[in-house]
Amino acid sequence: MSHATTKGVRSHVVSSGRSQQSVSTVHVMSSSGHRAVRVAAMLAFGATLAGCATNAPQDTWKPAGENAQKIQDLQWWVFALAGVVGLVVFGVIVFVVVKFRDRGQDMPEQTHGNPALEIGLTILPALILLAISIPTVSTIFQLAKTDDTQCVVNVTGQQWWWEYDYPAQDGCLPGGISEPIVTSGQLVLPTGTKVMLRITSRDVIHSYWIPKLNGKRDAVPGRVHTLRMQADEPGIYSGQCTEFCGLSHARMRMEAVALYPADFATWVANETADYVAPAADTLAATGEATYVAQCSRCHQVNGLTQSGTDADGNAVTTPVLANPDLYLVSGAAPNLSHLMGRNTFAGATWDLLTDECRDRVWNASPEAFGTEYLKGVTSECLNEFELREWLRNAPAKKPMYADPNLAGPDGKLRGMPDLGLSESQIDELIAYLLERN
Amino acid sequence: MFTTGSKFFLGATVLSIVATIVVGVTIGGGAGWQAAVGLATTVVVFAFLAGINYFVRDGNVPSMQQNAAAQSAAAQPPAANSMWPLVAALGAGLVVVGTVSKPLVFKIGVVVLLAAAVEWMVQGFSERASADAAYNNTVRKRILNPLEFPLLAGGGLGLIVYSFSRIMLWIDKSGGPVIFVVVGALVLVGGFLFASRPSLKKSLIAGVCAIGALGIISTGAVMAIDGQRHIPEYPTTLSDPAVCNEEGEATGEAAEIDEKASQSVAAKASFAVTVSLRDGKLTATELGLEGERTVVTVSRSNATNIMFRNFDSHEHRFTVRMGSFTTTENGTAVTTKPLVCTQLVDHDGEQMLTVVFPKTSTASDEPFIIEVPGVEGQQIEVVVP
Repeated sequence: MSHATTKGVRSHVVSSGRSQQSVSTVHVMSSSGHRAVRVAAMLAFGATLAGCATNAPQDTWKPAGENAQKIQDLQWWVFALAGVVGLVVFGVIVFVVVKFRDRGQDMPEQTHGNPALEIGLTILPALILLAISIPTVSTIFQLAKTDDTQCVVNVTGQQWWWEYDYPAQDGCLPGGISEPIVTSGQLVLPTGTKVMLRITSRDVIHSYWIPKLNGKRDAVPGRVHTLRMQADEPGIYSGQCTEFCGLSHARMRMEAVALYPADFATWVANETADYVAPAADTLAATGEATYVAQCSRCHQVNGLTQSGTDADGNAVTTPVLANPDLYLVSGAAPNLSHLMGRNTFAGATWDLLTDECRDRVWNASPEAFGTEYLKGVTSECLNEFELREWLRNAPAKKPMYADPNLAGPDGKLRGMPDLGLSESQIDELIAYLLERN
Repeated sequence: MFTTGSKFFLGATVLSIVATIVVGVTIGGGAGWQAAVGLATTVVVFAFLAGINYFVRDGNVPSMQQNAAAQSAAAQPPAANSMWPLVAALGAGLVVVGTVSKPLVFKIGVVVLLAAAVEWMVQGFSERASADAAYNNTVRKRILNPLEFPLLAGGGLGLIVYSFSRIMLWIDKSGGPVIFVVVGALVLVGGFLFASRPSLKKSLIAGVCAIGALGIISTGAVMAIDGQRHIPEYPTTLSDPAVCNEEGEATGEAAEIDEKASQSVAAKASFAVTVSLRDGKLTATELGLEGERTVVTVSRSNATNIMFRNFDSHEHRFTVRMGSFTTTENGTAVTTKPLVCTQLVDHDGEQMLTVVFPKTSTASDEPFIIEVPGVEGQQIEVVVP
């Protein structure tokens, strides 16, 4: 019997034909084994590179609020401990596989049971789980705490966008909020304030998650679930619906915008400002009429009125009120009173800002962020291409039904339909909406 | 010492004990106790399984011991043909048929499949417990009889109870008490007779009981096929202005809401607004907002649960007025004033009202109001943005 080493795989060679066959098998395995090692190394390298991404707005390892920090404080050492356990297990497996591999040796003595080892291997994992479970349960209860809330926002999910309404309340800012605010896509909150989200849904189950600010919470029809949200610094924090909710689930995104309290007060004042009608004989004024004819069935613009006559033929001015409950399964459509005051549309999926202007907001320093954000969307910064595509045929841009001809119960729709607008009508609407800031 | 299977279950037992302690210590309170008791049952189950495995030594015979292997249970031919593959096939067939026909067929199929799987598994195991067929049979009985007897007894009793319920649902409502009296008297007389004649053969008693059970089951089956009598449903809410606007009990057909509707509220019910009536004063609180509110904000087109708690000495109903809307139909102005109310809620009672406000309150000619008829000057305004 002799020993040989080929490409690092040590094998023994004996004169019998059977052993010769086993040697050739080892050579084949050596080649495929090397290939597997190379592939594994490339995958590990790729995974390492992916972990180095700088543009990762939904990174759960970069908390930006008190509750997210609590999750971070728990998860880093749990992951570390799990990593150590994993490494030890893999190490032992590799050791056993290499040291005790079949080399044609005699069958070793068979033993049955090792009480000390087995009891130890039962108690050790139990202790590890005990060490993990106590702070985990404690953190869960800390995250559920809402009795020191300073600001309340109702968050309502529907296919496939989020609505935020701020009830009239004493909190949120000094002097409180005097009248309700309704917005969508972007949750605006004051920094350093304990905000309580009251989360629910109008149609199916969704799940609300801004990874940098807290964990996720399901939005269930008929139930109100609470979630604490607090941001330390101004900025935009991205999120994503995390409960599969239909065809455009992947495009049901959300953003939390944190503003310094003074900037938040400015935002509130803007949201509650009176409606300003477009100047007469402008494209925007024509757009207002187009809006009333085409969009106001579902979308609300607060303060918008229209002229008409009453039963006696007298001229009257009446508010233009949306009736989404008659046309949509969810019974709601985004309020467009201040569309250009937010940076996104269609479930926060597309930017209303051009790339250059968007970068200016996203990359602003904490001190300058509020000013940049509150500029809203100007004609210079409008990402007209995306908005125009949306108005041209919304379902083509964001799928609502696998079969576009399929309507919901009672002929109601899920999401915005294709309104068949002409290019001139789109021009008018964009001019009108551009003034809704 | 310990067999492989028993080690696994011992480990699971230890983990369950740890989980029980963790849950009991960290959660605490009533919920903690309930969870701990629930987890403690897993401790009992795993300990029981560990004991069984230890007792039967996993049925192992080391393969190295050639003689033992040759004489082992595994080397013996099956004691008898098994009917369980056939039953399992029947169950699988019912499952398939049930998926395309009726859910009940599917459920029966699942039960049959599970029962066959358990019986088949235990039979297979017991026939390999030893090389002695008689001993193996006792092993099977020892494992399955404690399961089979209660289940068969429970199933039999359940069938009788279900059949009896079909009879009671078929007969006229006034006939129910008569049936109860007659059947109860027969059971009492029969029991008295059997007790006074200890010499009666057990087979006779069993025969009488079996005939009685078969009578109930067959009658129940016939009446189930024929269908139950009409049972009216009573709403727990009403949209009738004549009731919702008035104090006191409703009259006429609407009186059913106060007399027959239930007033139970699920323990896990989630409500956005809680309204309380105490000492003639109506107060409201909103989830997450400090203090009492005179104005509450509610989302549009959303099922909103409002809880009403009546701490007043009299019973009251709770009414939500959803504004006033004027539309033109065929050239005529039509005004609607939708509203909804609960039945009368007793002193210290509570009732939840689920309301959907499809329109914004700004579209209404009148404010949205929460009120209690008969309690003057106490209203909570509802704003729907």
